[in-house]
Amino acid sequence: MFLTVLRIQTWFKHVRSKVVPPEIIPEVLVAYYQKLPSNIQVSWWRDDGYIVGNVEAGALTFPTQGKNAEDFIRMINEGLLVVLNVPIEYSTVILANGLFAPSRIEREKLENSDVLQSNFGLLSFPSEMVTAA
Amino acid sequence: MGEYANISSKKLSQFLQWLSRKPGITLDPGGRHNIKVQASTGSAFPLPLSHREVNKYIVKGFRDWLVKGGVCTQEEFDEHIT
Repeated sequence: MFLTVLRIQTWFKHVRSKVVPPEIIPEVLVAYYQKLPSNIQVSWWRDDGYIVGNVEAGALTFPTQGKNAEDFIRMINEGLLVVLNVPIEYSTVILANGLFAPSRIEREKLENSDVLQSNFGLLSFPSEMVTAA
Repeated sequence: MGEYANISSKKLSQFLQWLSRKPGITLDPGGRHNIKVQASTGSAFPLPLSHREVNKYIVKGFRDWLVKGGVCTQEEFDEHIT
């Protein structure tokens, strides 16, 4: 029930943001972009049908998991914005414009179930978004 | 409890109900796939509750984060997570 309430809250906020887009202040958005670490390190492994990983972003670290490569990358990005305390309305904008993405080689490892573990380091986001805002 | 097993999201949400009554802890949606657990220190932990199960490594990490932040003791965590 508790989880259901939280999920309903999330869904409601998502729907509301589509109907009434939240106000995004460009200067604030730039400030949140500047909070992003210059690089992150991800170590991951497969366990019980999930990709599980540990993300190090500067002084912050957090674990996360994904059902597949795409989900894992999404969870890394969302988790990063959570630990950085970026409000959800700004997280949505940042995520929509792309944040962290591994290299093609690392992505292929994530997608290859024969590869049981690996690690990589990268942070990539569209810097033109920062200057344009 | 030295080692943890994977925990179902349902069970973890029951734990969060107990945790939410702790002073200084707030729970919010953390995007579409995470629940954000925030301590009064400002530190936040993302829990992947959109999945049916949360991996034992994350459960252990969550425990360490709670204990290190003084939110609960390891014994309290073990008592309420099971």
